[in-house]
Amino acid sequence: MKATMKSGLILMVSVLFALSVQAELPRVVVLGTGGTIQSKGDTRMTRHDYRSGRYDIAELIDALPEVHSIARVEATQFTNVGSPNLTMSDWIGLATRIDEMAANDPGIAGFVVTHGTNTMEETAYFLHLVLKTDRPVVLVGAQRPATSISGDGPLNLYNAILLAGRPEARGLGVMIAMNQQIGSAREVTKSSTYKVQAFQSGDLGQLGVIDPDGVQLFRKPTRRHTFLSEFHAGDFGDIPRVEVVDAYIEAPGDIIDYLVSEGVHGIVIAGHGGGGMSPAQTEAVTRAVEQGTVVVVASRTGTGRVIETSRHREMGVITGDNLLPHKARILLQVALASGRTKAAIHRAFETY
Amino acid sequence: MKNMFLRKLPALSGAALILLSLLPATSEGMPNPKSRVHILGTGGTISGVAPERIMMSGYRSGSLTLEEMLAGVPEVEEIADVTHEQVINVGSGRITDQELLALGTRIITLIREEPEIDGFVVTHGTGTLEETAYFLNLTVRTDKPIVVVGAMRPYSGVSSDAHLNLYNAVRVAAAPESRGRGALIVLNDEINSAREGTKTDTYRVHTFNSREYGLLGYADPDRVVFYRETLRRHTYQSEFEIEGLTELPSVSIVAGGYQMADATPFEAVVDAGKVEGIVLASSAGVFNSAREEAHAAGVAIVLSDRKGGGRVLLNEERLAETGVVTADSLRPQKARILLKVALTKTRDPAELQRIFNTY
Repeated sequence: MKATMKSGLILMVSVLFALSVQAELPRVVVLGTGGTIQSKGDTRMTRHDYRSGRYDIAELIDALPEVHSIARVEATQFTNVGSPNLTMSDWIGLATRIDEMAANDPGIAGFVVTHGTNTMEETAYFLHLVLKTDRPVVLVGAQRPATSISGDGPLNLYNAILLAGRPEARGLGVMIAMNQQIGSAREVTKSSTYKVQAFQSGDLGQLGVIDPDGVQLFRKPTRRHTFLSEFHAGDFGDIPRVEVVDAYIEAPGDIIDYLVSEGVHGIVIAGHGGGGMSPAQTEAVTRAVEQGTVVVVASRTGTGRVIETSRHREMGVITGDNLLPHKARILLQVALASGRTKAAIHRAFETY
Repeated sequence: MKNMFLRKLPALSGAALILLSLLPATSEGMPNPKSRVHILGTGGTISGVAPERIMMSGYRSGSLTLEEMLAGVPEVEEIADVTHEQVINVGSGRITDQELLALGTRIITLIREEPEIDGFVVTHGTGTLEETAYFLNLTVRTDKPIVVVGAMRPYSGVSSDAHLNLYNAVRVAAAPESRGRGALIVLNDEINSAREGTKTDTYRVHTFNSREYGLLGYADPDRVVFYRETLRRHTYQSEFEIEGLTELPSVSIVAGGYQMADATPFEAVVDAGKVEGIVLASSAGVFNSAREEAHAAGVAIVLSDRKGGGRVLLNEERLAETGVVTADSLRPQKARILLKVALTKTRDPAELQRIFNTY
């Protein structure tokens, strides 16, 4: 009897202790959007031909009880699709949701968004440009399906939740945390089709790491983002259409002419080298600019800035700094959606 | 002393200012009015001369003085008022603690006595450039830019990078955007933080990079542009004081980590009795007993790693029991510099660990 009482007391104390530890843990909201991290393959060896969005975010969290010792996790499924299916309307919805939660609930330490990896960096950069919160927003995915042997999803998710709960991650903008590496939304890019180290940040490198002993941050991004940004998804008018056109040997100008005749609002040229393009494209871009289409010239090289030359000035184009073409497209889209003039867009490309 | 003349002749500098205003207005990184940059020369390939233009090795480092080097890059006068002094003129393999202390103390003195200087450039051989840069990053308490620069091809070489690197170093030191970012390593149009910047190739011009943490920014043809700030403590946030020091604690690196490595090199260093600290470039377990012996002898031990990327993780138990401090993400040669500087303040392993977790 005495022994029972004693063990009952110990149980009660340990439950109370566990509850108090739990109460001190950071609150992290996990929003699921789908992708490989929530996918299902036919066998354990299926690593390339699987179906995205088959597991609910709650199922992923259930399979990872260890997160409850690092955070108080609140998981919600936002949508459950492969990343190519996401639209800018989804992005606006996601941004609005995060901003509302952050504004109404100061107790939330940070946010995690699970996402397919193919376009994850685009969603990340969009959120980086429009969110109003300084709390960490961490996008995470997996390179191997949830059913795969040696799947990277569970550790990636665990690490993302750990990062989102850290106070030192505040004010760093939107991040992608994969393979224990922390990338800034502006520079990080998927650089391998199937490898787990796919997300790299070119010559500007990662912000930090999530090692077995925790989060270590070494860098802070200095371009404007999130709470320092002038853009607000709630202010957007109609979503402008912006297309990316590749430059290559003998690239024709008629694709650009066609896009202009279709009424696209902006065009990003994925130029070669420091923002070069074919003679036919040069002529077509000049025509497009004359008709009021905003044209941004980025580079297909992967690193380095496009610096304004006299040729660029003659053509009337905006240079894309060191943004990858598909990121330049998002900044242009956000700036156009916010009703910015060409001069203001030019400034935005030097600031964001 | 051509550049000193320019500074002192109002008519000439007025003409230079007019010239400057005629330049295209695309240069946000270009200071206006002109910044004052002071260059300290220590030698290296950037001042090297070979008998023939195509000789990329076998040249003599430290052949040219800063005066002669600057005469070949008169364009620096357009971007800054440049003054200079030749501290020494040697290859970087010959830089000693005395040179480090003299260089650091000299910059500290200049900051105090000539507050009109906006930024500093140190020319240096590339072999140990990152060590001097990290030393300055830890010990010169200023938010003024300190740019350490070198070259991979001798000044006299065909397609030498020396001239543009020197020009870019002055430009970065003159740029207001460079303030408060710690000591910087500038070569090949790229701006590295002194903590992570490291030489990664024996002869290529893109030898310096910061591995997984990347560059802080670029010295591009149009302007100096930054994308990153470093988060570890440095320069104006530093707690270290070197003024008045005449020597630094002696610290050796023991390689280890290769197959069949035994404790012999480690014990040889301890037994020689000349070191106050040892940096291990590998965590190979064979050193366990030797470590305890060294710890007992009062030698500080820091565990780093030779791999080139990644951190050595802190082991609190090992720290408490054997006093072994972990180097975080510092490479062995940088861990050695930090240990030297840290040992001027403390010998307590827990305090050393705090320093390694912070800088």
